Amino acid sequence: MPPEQFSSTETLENFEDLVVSLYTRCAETSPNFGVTLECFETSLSKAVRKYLFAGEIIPTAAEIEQFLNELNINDLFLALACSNSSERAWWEFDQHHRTYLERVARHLASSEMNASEVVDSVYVELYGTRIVDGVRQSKFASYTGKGSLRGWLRTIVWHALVDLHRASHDEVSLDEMTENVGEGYAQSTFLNPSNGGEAEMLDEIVRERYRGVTFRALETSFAALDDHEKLLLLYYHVENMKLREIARIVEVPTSPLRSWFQRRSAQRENAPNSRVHESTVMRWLEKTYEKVLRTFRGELTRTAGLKETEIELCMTVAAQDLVHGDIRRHLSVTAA
Amino acid sequence: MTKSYQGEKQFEGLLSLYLRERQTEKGSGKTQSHLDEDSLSAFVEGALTQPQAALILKHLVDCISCRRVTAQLAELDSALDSAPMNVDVVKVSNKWDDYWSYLTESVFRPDDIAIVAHESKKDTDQDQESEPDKK
Repeated sequence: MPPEQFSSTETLENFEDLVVSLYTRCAETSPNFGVTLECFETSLSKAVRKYLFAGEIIPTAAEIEQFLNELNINDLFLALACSNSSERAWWEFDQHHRTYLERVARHLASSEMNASEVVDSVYVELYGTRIVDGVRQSKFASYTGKGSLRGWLRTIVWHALVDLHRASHDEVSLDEMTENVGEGYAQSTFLNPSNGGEAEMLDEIVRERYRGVTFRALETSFAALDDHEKLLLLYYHVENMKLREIARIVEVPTSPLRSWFQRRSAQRENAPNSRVHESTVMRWLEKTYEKVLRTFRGELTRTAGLKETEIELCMTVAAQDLVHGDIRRHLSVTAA
Repeated sequence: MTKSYQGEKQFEGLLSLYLRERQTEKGSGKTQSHLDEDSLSAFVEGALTQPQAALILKHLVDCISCRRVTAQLAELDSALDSAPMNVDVVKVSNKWDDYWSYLTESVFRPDDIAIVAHESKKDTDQDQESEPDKK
């Protein structure tokens, strides 16, 4: 018999006992936060709908129960109380989290003044500036308890800093700010094709052919990867993350990236909680390279009908483009 | 160094540049919705299971902005771990009354303040510094 499944509309009706038990636990720890059971339940429902009903797979009762039990329930309770303007909760929040907020802001901001400006704006945002139907819209209301409150706050600080930067740089959008790394590089790589004699033209025609098939094969082989493999390559090559930093994202045993990479691994079976070191991430990268290279060679052999020596030539031509920096022009040619 | 090893290294270099260029191509003029702070931080903390993270992962592959936020948050974690705690952090409780006033007064228009019904502690809490009533 398949496990019992629930629709998003009846999300927590069957989990009343668990919800009450979680609520009681929080209310006993913080009796004067003034959070009602109804408010608490609404927030849990929102979290369940957001994370368990976002895809096509309907969660089972056991999955919903596990999800609820894994929430950072005390952090959520504090956030709800702050969202409801409980002064006691705000005092607790200030005591426990202001130092961390200031530390993060100081680390990210270019000056002490910017750091305190960011912390101020974060507080205002957390408190809420808009009132809709008589209810103040606190940023705290968007916290679900899925991650830690500190992790969430760190992201809020990061966004506040981007906003501050944007305000002082003629409304640069977040997209522009985060994408401009590649842009300067792209502009510098537009090279004009050289004009030469007949031999050079012939050489260029042959090269163009190899370039075309090479970049099509690259496109296909990257597209054939799974999402977790693509993301690993993008983190390493585009975001320039260090292996140590990637390892941090996957250090939690339940991390989805880690689970995907280790789904057939003996290591996962034998020591599921073991630490992920840089060498592990390097191994995952190497496996991904092997997979892309295999597809790449296969594409050139099957689709383009190239021989092994021609494949080597393709790689050499592409590598020369790499050195001369005009790969983008050929990508555009390929795409056209 | 063997020829095959050289070839693999050459391919890694080619792949690396291809990915950077692909980002520029995909990034130009494309506007899309972004992940909220809750999803971003939960992902960076590894707090999501595979089914919960599947859509987020797909988004991160395509969205440069969100991917960059997750990368920078991971870098930030790493840097904060290795940086010493700043010793000149201002004692927070001393600032509390100022802050609460600042929030309630600067955020709201005068006629909204009644909704918050904030009662100043300055007159009553003499021996508890600025800690609100624990009841």
